[in-house]
Amino acid sequence: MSPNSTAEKLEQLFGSFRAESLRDNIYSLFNEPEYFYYLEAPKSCVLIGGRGSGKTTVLRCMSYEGQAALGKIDLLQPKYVGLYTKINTNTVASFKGAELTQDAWQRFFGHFLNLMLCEEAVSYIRWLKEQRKESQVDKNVSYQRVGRVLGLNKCETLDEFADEVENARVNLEVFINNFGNTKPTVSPLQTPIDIIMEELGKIDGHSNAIFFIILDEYENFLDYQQRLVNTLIKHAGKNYYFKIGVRELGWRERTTLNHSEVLISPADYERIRIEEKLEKDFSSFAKRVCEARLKAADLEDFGPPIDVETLLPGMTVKDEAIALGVDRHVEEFKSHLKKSSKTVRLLELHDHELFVFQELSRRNFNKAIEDLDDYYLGVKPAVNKYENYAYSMLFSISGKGAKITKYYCGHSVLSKLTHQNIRFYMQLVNECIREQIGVEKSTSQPIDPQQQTIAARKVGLSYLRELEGVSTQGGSLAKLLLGLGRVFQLMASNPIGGKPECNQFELSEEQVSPKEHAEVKTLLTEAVMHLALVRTPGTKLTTDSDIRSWDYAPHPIFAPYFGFSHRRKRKMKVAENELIALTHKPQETVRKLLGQRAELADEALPVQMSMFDEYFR
Amino acid sequence: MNTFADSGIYSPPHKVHSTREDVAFDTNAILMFGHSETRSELPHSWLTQFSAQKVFQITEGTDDGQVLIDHLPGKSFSLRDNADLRQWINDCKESLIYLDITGLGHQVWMPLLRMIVESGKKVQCLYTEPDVYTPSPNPKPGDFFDLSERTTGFKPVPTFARIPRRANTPSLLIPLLGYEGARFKHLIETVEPSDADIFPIVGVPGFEIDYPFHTFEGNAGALSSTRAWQRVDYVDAACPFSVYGHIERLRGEWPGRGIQVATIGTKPHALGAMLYALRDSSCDILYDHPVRKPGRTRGSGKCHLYDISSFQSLGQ
Repeated sequence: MSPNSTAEKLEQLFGSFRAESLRDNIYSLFNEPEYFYYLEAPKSCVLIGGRGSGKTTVLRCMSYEGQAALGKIDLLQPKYVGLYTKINTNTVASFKGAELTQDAWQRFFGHFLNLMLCEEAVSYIRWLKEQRKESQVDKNVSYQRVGRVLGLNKCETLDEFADEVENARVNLEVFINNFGNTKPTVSPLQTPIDIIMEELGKIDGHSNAIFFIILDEYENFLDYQQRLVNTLIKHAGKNYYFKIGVRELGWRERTTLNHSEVLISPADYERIRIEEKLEKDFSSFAKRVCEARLKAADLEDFGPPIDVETLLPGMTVKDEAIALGVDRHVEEFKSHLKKSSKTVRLLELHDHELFVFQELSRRNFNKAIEDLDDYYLGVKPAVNKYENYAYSMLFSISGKGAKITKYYCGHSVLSKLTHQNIRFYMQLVNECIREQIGVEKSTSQPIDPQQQTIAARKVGLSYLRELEGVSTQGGSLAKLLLGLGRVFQLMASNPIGGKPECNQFELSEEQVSPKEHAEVKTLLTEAVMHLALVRTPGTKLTTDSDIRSWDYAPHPIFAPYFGFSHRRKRKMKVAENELIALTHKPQETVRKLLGQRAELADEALPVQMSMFDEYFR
Repeated sequence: MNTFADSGIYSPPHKVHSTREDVAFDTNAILMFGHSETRSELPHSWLTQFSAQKVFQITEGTDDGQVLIDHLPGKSFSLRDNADLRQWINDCKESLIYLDITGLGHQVWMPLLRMIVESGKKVQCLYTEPDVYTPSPNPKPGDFFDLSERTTGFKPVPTFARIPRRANTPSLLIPLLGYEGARFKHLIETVEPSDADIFPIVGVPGFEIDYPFHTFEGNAGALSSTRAWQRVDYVDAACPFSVYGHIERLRGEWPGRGIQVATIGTKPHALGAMLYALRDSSCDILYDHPVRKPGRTRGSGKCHLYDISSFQSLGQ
């Protein structure tokens, strides 16, 4: 097999990271995550996860088509039937405008939802008839009853019902394009869904089946539409439940149409945050997913696949220091140590240990020797000092202009870069293998840390560029990240005199105008929702809506590209107006954020960022 | 000499004038226009050809989907509850309407044009190229012009909303590409098409000889990540009728599939897509409603005159 065809094969399995692009492969490559068990329970669930966290894959695998492809559905007596719908932004946005009152929009939108569900039900029954090769599976279903509650003309058979639903859809479409036209008959909220589901329960063998109404990309609903669907969720439960897929912070409305009624977990639904559920297990989940794909790649003569941990070896801090060239920094210091019998024993220490104390003493050898003596003897403060700085000092070893200023390698580190995001992990493995093929090595051999680092940078850059398109705020998100990334990169490569491993920020108390505050709130919400930033509860009591009560950091996937630590350690304060300024006056604001170290902003960009030279000029 | 039209190879109902000043109008006509940039200002020569009562400036109202017409002060017309607007068009004594789309957003000129076409009046559209696009003060790779502040997101253009039926096969996505790669990326993110279903169109020949290269550079990221570069096709940037023909050809090649055309490129391309959507109810127009930056273009270039009614009569 040629390297090209191998790359192509891997690209098909790893390169198509979106569930949408995998088409039917989505099922054969599916690996059940631990939380799948909760989703299958007879209860409404809200599955919350960032872009690429695997929501769509999981939800589509719950659909009847998915269950059939996985060989998990009993066609004669299914345990559950999942009716999957992805919420289409362009369609739901049609149900808004100054021409109608909110109340009227709610009624038309409720009618649209009823029709949408009917279409799903029709598709299921047609599919089931085909699968079971029985035309009478729906003999007990009263289409007339469903049609009546929807305000349709008389219909007795499935085909008649489908035609009537189609007519109702067209009537609604005509109306929302010109409200002067005759108003279509509008069906009420909830009752039609109850009746549709009751009738679906009359299909042969379905009397004990539970129906799951799966709504993916719930964030696309407008606010009033979310309240409307929340109402349906609140009152679900006879023989059907809702399974909702939504992005972090995309579930904006928690009340029902009755503003004093709130959806409560676990009473009304089970809240499943993918990030939390996978936190402990992510590394092994990622390993399972990747190994299944490597196996499916069937690389034949290019070398049998090896396990992911062997494929992606990591490095210890000391090995990394050596690889970065720490020895040349301590040559002079070591010559100095050799001169005295009192200090010669310190030569037993690792070059990186010598380097850390040398740099912390700002190259005052005598001061460094004092600390090293304590360190050598295991004196606690000195040992702590080394441990506190050992990692952060790695960023300053190779010096400006080096090709690699920090390694990002090993299955464990790469999983941490993804922050429990399976799509990022696949991208990292795919990119690593491409690098390996690029240097004409086999996938049976471990991938060199340098190749892994270059691959991780590419993934970071690729997502940085993708960010522009993730939302209507995409351009600002990319600029915000470029600004923050530059600040943290400069702080990382100049650890002495600043905060080591500073890669988080919290908002300072400075007041800004309500307009600016709203702008920052939107920017930060979008940034978290689309994985430009990650947030963790700060020191104050946190609520979702209070942006000041959280700490923020660039998503760790960007760490290798900019060259700062992927570990969450220390934070700085940023004013709200500085965040906005980062998006349109980058260089000036970077200087301001660096405070007394503003001159660092004049340093040349690292090699991998040179394409942004003009942007930071 | 860049476009087919420059070389004298016209789709029949397309005339090109070197400047806006050069356009000669038929009598017994009215002119509707919007003003947003230098290139959409009315030249003196136009004002000498129309009496003031026959020139109507259209501006957007404060609410989405509402427009104001300068000769009818105090009255706001809804583009979605549009009986009044249709009536006003029908009541015009003149049989020919010139609609200058240069300074109007898609969300305004598309429904207006639809109503004019459906009224049975003759209509010709005008479009003026800019002299130059304004470069960005902080350029990033692939992002070198300062065109839009942001977009407000995908939502239907009034009168073009579709409630798609549940389809077993996904629609084809035809992005009409412009310079702003972020808009193409956002389209991909919103629609989430299968890579193989994306059929991008680049305007070639462009308004200027280098423009297609900017288009490729601006959209390189998304073209590469979706591998859609393999299916890029080229259609004259200034010719709506060629876009129409191109979509029609794709429709023939992919029977039974829905079509989504994203109008994120040149206005003449958007015009072609809109004309196609009028004829094919399975064609959905996708538009992300960009907020244009003030001063995004400077000066004005060639002026195109498209005889929509003649084109439509060709197919009848």
